[in-house]
Amino acid sequence: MLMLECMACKTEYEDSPRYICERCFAPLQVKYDWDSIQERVTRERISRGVHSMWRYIDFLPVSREPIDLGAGFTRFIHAKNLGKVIGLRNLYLIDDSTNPTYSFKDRVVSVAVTKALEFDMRALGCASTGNLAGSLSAHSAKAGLPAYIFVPSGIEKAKIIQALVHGANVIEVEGDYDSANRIATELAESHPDWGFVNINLRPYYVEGSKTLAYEAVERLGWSSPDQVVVPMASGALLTSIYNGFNDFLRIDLTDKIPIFNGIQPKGFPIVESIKNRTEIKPKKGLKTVVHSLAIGNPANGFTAKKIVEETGGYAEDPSDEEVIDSVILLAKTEGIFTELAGGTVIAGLKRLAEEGKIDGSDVVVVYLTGNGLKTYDVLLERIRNVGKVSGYGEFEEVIPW
Amino acid sequence: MVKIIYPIILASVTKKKEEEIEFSGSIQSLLDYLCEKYKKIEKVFYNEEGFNRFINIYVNNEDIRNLNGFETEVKDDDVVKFIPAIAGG
Repeated sequence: MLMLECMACKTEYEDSPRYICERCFAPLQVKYDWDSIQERVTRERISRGVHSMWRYIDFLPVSREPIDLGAGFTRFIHAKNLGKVIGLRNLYLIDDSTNPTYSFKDRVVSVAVTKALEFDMRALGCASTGNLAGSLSAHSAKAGLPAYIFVPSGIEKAKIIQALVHGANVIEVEGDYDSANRIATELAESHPDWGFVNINLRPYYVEGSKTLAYEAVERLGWSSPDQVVVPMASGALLTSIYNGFNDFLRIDLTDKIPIFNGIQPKGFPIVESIKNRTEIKPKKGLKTVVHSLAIGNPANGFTAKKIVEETGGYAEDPSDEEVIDSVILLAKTEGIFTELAGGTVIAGLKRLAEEGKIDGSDVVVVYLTGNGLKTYDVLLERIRNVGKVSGYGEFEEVIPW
Repeated sequence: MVKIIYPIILASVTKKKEEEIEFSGSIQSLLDYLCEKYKKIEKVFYNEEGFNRFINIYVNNEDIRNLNGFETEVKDDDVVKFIPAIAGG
């Protein structure tokens, strides 16, 4: 039977919309009945499943038909061209820019919205840096529930247009993401019958990202990569991917836990704490073009740091310039236009490869979390101007050969 | 008066979601005062590592870690909020 348990004191709770332990305030996590899962799950059963993340339904905490827009089981690419440039022969990319709303958030939202319906909730909500807003609004529309979305002021308009088109109520909060998050947390407290997907549905929400690990294993022929490279904002994504590999290892569907490398934009707290071997301290006022990773007060930072350290991985924090260079590098080598968070992870990967922290023969999986069209405005100054002609004769003058 | 706002889980100890008290001093002395007033709250606030890292304290919507930590001064008309440190991403 599905339960919730406290991550710290292990107190158990029934399957319900709770998110913190009544005894010690620590986050709750889903506890599965692994004997039952092991009895019914086989590689063949998974392989016969639907072409979405819901092929792994046995590992997801739902008991009704999911709200499935088709998230997951996205492109798995052997990046030979990029690998050649940076010296990695076995480099693979999981490209979540091809999800229904163009980011990995569709995986987590699909689970959380399904749970909200299970719990008869009246509305949905979230704090978002953009990707989550688009995803939640689309899934809310499909589920027939209103959505309330809190975003930091100054967010890229391309990221909230989706939410507005799907009919969500978008509220811009003065300040940064952490301010939007604080208000959403207070509202989740005062409206317990609203499902704030990354707050009071968080124990279920984070489970969706585990499918990023399952897919890597299945796509590699039921074997784990040697290393993974993951972007970090709150640290929740990296933690969930780790849990996913652990799930498969627990029931012998894979052979090992990979080395975890975490990447953030320059100066952000998780990477800084790993590099300096200090505790994570929240930070305010940090500037980066990578808004989707700009969380100064990372809720899962402690766990993400522990995973990177215990698996023997590294953390990198590339500059905005390296991030933009890497978006362009990926686009020109692999034909993939990723968002700035994807540029961040590629820039971090490049550093790790150059510094010899990843061996040229290692099997490496890199997670690209969203689509470049969401953050195109940052690139406009860096890309080549469009040539202009008024007739055939001018063509050779404007195109550099 | 200083306004204090509690999350649901703390409200089960304080028996109220918010209250206003006559107070002037640091956050640390406010915590000491609350531990004295609500005997069960100390177990939630503190563990062997010190103050519970799963509780964030805000003074006038600013995290005290961005102010002066537990030495942050609280005065008349300030609002102190205890918010679960779980969210985001």
